[in-house]
Amino acid sequence: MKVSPKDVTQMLADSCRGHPEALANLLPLVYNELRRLARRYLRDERSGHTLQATALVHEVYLRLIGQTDLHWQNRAHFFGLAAQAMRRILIEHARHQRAAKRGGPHRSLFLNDAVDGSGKREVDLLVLDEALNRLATFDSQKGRIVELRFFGGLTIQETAHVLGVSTPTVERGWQMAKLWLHRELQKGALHDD
Amino acid sequence: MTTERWQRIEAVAQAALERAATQRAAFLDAACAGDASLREEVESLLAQQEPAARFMETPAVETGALWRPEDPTDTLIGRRLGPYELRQEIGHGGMGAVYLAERADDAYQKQVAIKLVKRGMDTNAILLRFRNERQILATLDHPNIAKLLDGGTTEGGLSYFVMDYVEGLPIDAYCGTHKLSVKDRLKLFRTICAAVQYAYEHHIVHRDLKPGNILVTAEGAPKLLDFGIAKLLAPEESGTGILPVQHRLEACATATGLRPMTPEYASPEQVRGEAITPASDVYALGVLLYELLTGHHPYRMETRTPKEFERIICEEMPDKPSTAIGRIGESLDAVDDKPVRITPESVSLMRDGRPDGLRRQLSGDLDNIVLMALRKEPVHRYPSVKAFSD
Repeated sequence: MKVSPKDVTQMLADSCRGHPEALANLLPLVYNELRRLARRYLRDERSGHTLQATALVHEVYLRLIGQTDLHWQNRAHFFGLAAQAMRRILIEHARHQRAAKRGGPHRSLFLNDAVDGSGKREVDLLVLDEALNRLATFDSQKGRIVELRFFGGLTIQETAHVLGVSTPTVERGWQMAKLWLHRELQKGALHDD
Repeated sequence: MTTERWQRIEAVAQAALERAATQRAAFLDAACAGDASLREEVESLLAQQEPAARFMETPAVETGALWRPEDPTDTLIGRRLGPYELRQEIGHGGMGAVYLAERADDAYQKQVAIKLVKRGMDTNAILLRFRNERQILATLDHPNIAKLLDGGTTEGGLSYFVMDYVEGLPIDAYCGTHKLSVKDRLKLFRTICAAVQYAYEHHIVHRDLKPGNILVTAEGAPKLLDFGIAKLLAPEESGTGILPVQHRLEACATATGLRPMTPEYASPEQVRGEAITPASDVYALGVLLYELLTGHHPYRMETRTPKEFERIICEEMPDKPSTAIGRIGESLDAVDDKPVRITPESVSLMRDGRPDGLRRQLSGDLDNIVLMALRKEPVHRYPSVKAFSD
């Protein structure tokens, strides 16, 4: 089914006004488009692109909505959805990999894999995702900030725009969320298998 | 956690963050008076400030999180890199993946291993490291060291390099499969020492010696793989003149700090992030020899937490090999990864002997030699692999 930019714009507006059905239609659309694009970039190295979160999201935007002028709220709403979709794609991918690794012939992946070339710990996305879910239960705004920033690749300003709050609020929220999540991940690392 | 409790914690933490570090303690004394758990929460958050500085600052998708192909149809298999066509993935780790590849230009038939650096990880530091590896390996020419053949960058900007493809078993699996006697194990081990010694003479410390990096071919020849994290020991003294200044700086900057390593074979100085010297390889070889001789790891590493690892590696004294063979344990089979029970009988059977015979062979000289290689302080170990091997 090919959906026209007009339909998408309408869905965005409806979903923004809180129509759950519009949201239910829209999210898979964004998800599929994002996934398709990400895959294409990954396969087609010739394009010379390195995968960039904002570039991906903007390209999905152009594909689904085109040049249509959107009300800023709808536009912001779109970026919120895109970040959500991106998170889902990455988490699904990480699950796949974890499953593949389990079946594989690797024995001691512990510190070896946890430390990347530059000497910093690599983040286990699945553990981070769980911690983020927990954070959202008592501070949903921080949960969204992290989703928009880390998964959607949005800047502080863009995040403030999407959430309709001030930049300093996002700034502080982001810092605090980082501290909390980092601590949770460290705790997790101590119990990690 | 309730929303109210969190709001309280956050408010205090935010206020503390706005104060200079020197004033925080006094502020927390006042703000958390009578609420020890509040203070503990806030302090544990504040403690993250430095370690979390760069945390999540690069969007997830740009860290290479999507790099590995999602399903078998969506892979790099069949792709060409230079004259080579990727045939199958034969391994992957923190830095990227290794593929078996074949020359596709009909010039001659040759199988090679291609190491491809993970997307999103092609930072300058890693590129430098890989460049190091290329140059270092190009100077190495030894029958027991897998040779570097070529290197380059894909059109998409990923670094790769091409190495001898070695078909063989990890040394522990090889010794197990062939039930090698202590004598034969020592012989194999000394061949490895000679290769490591050769590398030292070119100022190269391996830093990650472990069975997975030491394959033994069907002909019984050991091959050392993966000098991926090798660094020139003393770049300015190497005399090769091939390292430009920034490489030397890089080598110095990364001389300490958390290195990619395999905890089971990491020396105390590696675990602590201290300077790595040839003695670190002596240690790793000591662990390897311990395992080859006894079938047990020097330490009982049931725990997997980094802190506990560090404590064990830095503080615990291993049993003498001749004592260790008396242990009953369980380990993953080196060949098929299934848990197997290790008993004095099984250990000696695998070494072509009986428990009392094996104990006699190990006690005395071999006990002392292995324990000397495993000394906690680098200066107390053998001064070189050659000394160890002799």
